[in-house]
Amino acid sequence: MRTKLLSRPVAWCMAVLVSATFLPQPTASASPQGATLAPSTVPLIGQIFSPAEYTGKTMDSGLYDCLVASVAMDLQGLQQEGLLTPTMSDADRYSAVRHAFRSQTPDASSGLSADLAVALMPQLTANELVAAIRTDITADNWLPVLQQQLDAGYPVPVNINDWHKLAAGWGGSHPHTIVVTGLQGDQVLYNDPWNGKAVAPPQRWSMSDADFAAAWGYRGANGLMAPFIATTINRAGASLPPVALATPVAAPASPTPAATIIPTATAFATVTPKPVAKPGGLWVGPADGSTITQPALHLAAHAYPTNAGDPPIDHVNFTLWWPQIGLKTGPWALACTAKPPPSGDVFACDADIGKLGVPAGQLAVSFDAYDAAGNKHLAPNGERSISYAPPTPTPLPSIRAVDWNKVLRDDPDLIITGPVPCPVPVPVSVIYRGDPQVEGLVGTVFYGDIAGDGGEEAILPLGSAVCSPSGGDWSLLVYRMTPAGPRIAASLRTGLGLDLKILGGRLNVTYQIWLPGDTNFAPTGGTQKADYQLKDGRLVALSSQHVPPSASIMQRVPESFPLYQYLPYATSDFEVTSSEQGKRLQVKVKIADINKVKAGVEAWIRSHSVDPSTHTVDYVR
Amino acid sequence: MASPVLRAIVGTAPTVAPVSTASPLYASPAMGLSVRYPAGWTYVPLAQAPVYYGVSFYPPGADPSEPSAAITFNLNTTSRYDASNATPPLTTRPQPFTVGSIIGRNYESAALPIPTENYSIELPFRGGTLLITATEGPDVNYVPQLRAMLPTLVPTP
Repeated sequence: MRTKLLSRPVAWCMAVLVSATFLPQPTASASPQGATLAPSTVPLIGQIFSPAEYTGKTMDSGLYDCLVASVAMDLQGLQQEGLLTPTMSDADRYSAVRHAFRSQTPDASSGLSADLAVALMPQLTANELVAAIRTDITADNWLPVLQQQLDAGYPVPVNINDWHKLAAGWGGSHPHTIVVTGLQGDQVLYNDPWNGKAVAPPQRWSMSDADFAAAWGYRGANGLMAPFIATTINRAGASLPPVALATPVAAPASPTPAATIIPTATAFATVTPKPVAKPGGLWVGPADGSTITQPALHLAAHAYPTNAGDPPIDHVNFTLWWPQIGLKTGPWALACTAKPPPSGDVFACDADIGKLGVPAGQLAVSFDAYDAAGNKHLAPNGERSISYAPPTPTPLPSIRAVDWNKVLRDDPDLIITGPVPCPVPVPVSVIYRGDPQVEGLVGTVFYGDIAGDGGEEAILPLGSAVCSPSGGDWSLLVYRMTPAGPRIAASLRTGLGLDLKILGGRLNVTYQIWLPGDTNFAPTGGTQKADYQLKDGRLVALSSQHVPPSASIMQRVPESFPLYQYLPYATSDFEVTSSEQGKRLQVKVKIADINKVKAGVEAWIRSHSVDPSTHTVDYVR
Repeated sequence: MASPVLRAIVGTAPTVAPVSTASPLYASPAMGLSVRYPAGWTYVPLAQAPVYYGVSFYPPGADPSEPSAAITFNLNTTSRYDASNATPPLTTRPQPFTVGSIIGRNYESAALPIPTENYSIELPFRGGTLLITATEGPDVNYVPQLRAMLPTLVPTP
């Protein structure tokens, strides 16, 4: 058999059926053989596409779609040969196959099963083709099986359990699917759909029989994956004779297929169609071509059993489509569900398309009727087109353009404590009425989006004790632009030596902690760092970290703060935060049982050889 | 659908990296959740749609631009969670699954998808569905790692 294979003419699958188009022959630079690849009429389709598409559940970029692209390539090859009625361009075919697969497996972070290819093939090819999973291929017969398929004109998608073993030697060790397109000399020719980052567009490749057998026969790093799995796609009704076992070829021996395989080639049972009741439906509203300006959308339709004796209508789902959620042939968004009315057959409900994220523009609405027996009629009265034209909000001016000296003086939430006779950016001193401890001179104002909503906030550090644009701050105000002008959105008390930055959409706050007895410029309490985000009108700490002072400073921690080095301390019941007041502790209570918390705090204090009665503890929720 | 020809394979689980309150924090106001992930792991926000937000977590050395194994959080704000909804074809029968006080369900791949198969948790969240997945096979299994992360999940409904 080996001799015969070597003497065979070029046997890529199309050459015997059509005039092969001899394409430029790229060199597979990563191929172990450095082979020049053969021409083929099986087109190259890369699995990565852009922009990513919404599947109805997740976003799909093709990262896990090697099987989809392989099936699409296979079908386009068959179309070019005349084994499949020509209907589609390569791009349309890939799109159609992808949507069919992802309608069944909409989680795009999951790969796709060859069982799906079997189930979907009649639908994808108008019953012209059938797919089957071949689990009977071994190290002894893989070559004649491929040759038989290829001689009959059928490319063969195959599973490769580690793509690193392919000619390209892709990085990592991911399972993969490719399409074998021909056998030439001692080379196996194949199309690889991977075009992720190493190559674009995808390429044709070749490997020696021995290397290909080693790759196809590999059982994966854990030894659990079945080798020599193929998904053959053939004309419906056509049957190729079984392949007799060939004389063993020079390929690595392969163990028997993994125990996880069910040794049958028939994946899905044939279902005999039976008559089903199909509910009827008729639009009530909205009117076709109408325009709505508010997000509230009232939807109504008649729904009824079509024939006497059919089950009653259980519910009606109203659905919406707009371009941003993907192709119209893909999944639509559920607008609302209408339950049976007290009387009559008008099913109605209200949708809030603002909550659905519908942008201004054209959208389509439809409804599906379901009866009590589970029968359904999708879009029994078609779809209607409506326009959504919400009032255009007036863009807010940039908060960077405001005159802070004027804004602060005019702000009713602030008390102006006097002008500052020094050349600082905003020469006023203020007290915030919402928290009088947020007060002082205004430092250098800076800007950034700390709410994650695309708009910028202004951060105003307060508290400089001297006429300096930075340093010495101990609190801050956050302003947001509103239609009425800049308004205080939040405030924060921190500590001395405030350092502020906006990093990655978060307000990064760093300040030093002065302990009782500390002198100016020599804090011994270490440093507190925290990241905040503006949410629902307050600054929410996303992370917090206390950096202890150096050992030399620790030696100067006064005896009046005996628990300092153990702070902060937290359990699932409470959190003791660092205090700047020596023997006064603040405890955040996390559970309802305050007595349990008090007992826990006192035990913790005693565990450090400190008498709890020497400390004052403030419990806060 | 009938039983699959190629059944799913649970891969090998690497040693679970510890996840605690000291672990790095991922917080997404858009998704309305925060979760801690193992030190050394990375995360990649996924492409967004008006009704969809997502993020994938990858172990050290993984390349997010390849079809790598991952732990992924997806929020679909319009696909209302309904425990009676059919699960995708070729997945196992759903089982109740509770995260914190949120009761949802989980299911797994029953067939062998290539290149990765998933363990999936669906939770009702923000009027839609929070889909949490971990690669379970056929090569590597990150379900134990996901279980170590879930106690740190803080949803903000």
